[in-house]
Amino acid sequence: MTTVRVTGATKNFGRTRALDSIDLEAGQGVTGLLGPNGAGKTTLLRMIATVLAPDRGTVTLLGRDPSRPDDRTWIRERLGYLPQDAGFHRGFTVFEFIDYVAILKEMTDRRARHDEVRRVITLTGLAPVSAKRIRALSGGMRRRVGLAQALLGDPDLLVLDEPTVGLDPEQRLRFREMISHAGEGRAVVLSSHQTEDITALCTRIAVIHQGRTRFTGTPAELTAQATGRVWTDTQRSPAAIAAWRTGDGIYRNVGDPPAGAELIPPTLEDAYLLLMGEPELEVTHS
Amino acid sequence: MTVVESVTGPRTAISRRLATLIGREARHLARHPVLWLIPPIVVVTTSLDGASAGRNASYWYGTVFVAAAFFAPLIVLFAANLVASSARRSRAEEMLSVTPTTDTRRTLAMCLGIALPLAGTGAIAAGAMALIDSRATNIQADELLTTGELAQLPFVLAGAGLLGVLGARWLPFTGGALITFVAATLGGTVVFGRFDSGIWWMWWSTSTTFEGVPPVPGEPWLHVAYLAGLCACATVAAVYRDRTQWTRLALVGGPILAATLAVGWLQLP
Repeated sequence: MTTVRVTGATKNFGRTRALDSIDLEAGQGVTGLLGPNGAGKTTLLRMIATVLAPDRGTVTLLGRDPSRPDDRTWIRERLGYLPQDAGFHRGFTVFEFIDYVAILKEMTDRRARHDEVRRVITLTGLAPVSAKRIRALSGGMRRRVGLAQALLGDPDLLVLDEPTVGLDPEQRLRFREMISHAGEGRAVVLSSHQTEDITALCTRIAVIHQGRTRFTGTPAELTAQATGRVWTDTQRSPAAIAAWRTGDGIYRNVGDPPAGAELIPPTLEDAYLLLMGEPELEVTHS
Repeated sequence: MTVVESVTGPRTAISRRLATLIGREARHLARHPVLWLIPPIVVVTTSLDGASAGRNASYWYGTVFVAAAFFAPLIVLFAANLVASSARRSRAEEMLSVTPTTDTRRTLAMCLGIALPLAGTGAIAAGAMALIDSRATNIQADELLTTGELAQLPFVLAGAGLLGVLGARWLPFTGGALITFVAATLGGTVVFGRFDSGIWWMWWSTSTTFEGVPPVPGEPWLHVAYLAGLCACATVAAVYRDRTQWTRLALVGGPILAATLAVGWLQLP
C-alpha cells in the first residue's frame, strides 16, 4: 500500500520556488530523501507532515487528503514527526515533555499514557535520563527525545527531517538502529545529507535537486548508475567531475573514465555526485 | 486499531481531552519561576509596612490584599505570557502542531488552564478578606471592601493571565509581553482620562480613591460584569488568532465585545 503519494506538488515562498511539480511515493519501509542544501527536502517533508499545504498538486497520506480538516486530524493521529530544527520546552524533564506531547496526541488515560511514554523512552535509550531536564542534555540526547515523541502511539507514518544531523559516529549508529527498527511494519520518510545513512537504512530513495525529483528507486539502482564511471589513478584526472586523494595516496575519480582506466565498484556517494553533476539526467525506477 | 486508539479508547469526549490539557497548562503556570517572585515581594513589603501595629486583623487583611491584588496581576501577566509563548520561544511549535489537538483547542486549554487557577486564587483571597472582615472589629471602615469589590479580584487576576496569553498570541516576538503591558496601562489611562487608572494591575477597586477620586469609577457589580467580559474577549481573541479563524473571531468576538463595552458604559456613574 502506498502510504505517501505526492503528485505534481509545487510550493513557493515569495518569489522562491521551493518545490517544482514534484512527485513522490512511499510505502512500508524507510524512504530516504537525498539532496543538497536548499534542494527542497525539508519543504517536502513538512508537506508530508501536514505542516504545509502545496500551492499546486496533491498530497495523499494514508489514503486521506490532509487539506480537509477532518482528514488532517485523522492523519495526525497516525503520524510521528521529527522536524529538522526541533526545539523543546527546556524546563521540562524528558518524561514531562514526552508526556505533554502524548496529551496533545489525545492519550487521556493517565496510566496507559504513562506506560506508552515509558515505552518510547526505553525504546530510544532515554530511560537513564528520563528525570533530567532537557536543557541539561547533549545534542544527541535531545535528538533522541525528538525521536521518542515521534514514536508515541506507534504511528503508521514517521517523518524524520535530518534525524542524524549533529550526532557523533556512535550516536549515528544508534540512531540508524532505532530508525531501522521503526521502519519495520510502517512507512518512514527521512531526509539526510549523509549517503552512508541512506545506504544503511533506506529501501527506496528520492534524490531532490532544485525542488524537483532527479531520481527515484532503490539505493542499488542509483549506485548502478555509476558503474564503470569510477576509477583510481595516481593523479587527479581532468575527465573527472570529482576526484579526491584517498588515505592510501591514490586518487578516486568520478566521471567519464579515460581508456584503460582502472575501474572500481561505485558507491552511492559516487552515483549521487554523478547525478548532481549532470543536470539534464533524470531517472525514475519503478 | 493504532496504539493511540488503544490508549485513548474510542474517541474520548472532547471535554475529557480538554480537561487533561487544561490541567497540564495550569501546572505549567504554577511551576513558572516568575510566579515565585510573589511570595518574597509580599513578605518584604508586609514586614516593612503593616507590622508596626502588630499582626492584627488589619495587618492580615492588608497582607492578603497586597499578595493577591497589588503585585500579583503584573507578575501574572508576564508569567502567563512566558508560559503561552514557551513553545514558540523553544522552537517546539512545529513539532507540537502536527498532533490531533488543533491550535485552537490548545489555546483554549491554555486560556482556561491559566485563567481558572488564577480566578480560584483570587476567589480564595477575596474569601479570606471577607472572612477576616466578618471576624474582626478593629479594621477601619475605609479599609474594608464591599462584596462587589471583592468579587472583582478573581477577574483581575484571571484577566491579567489572559492578557499575557493574548500578548503571546498576537505579538509573538521578544518584547511582546512588555508591549502588551505598556499598551494595557496606557489604554486604562486613556479610557478613564487619569494616569492612576492605567495602573489597573495594582487593582484600584471602584471604591479605592486616589486624591479623592476613584481611578476606576462605577458600580461594583457592573464592574465585575465588565471585567468578566474583558476576560471573555481576551479568550476569544487568543483562541481565534489564526488568520483562518478570523470569521469566527468576528462572529463570536463581536457580540461579546459589544456586550462588554455596553456593560463598561453602564457601570460609569
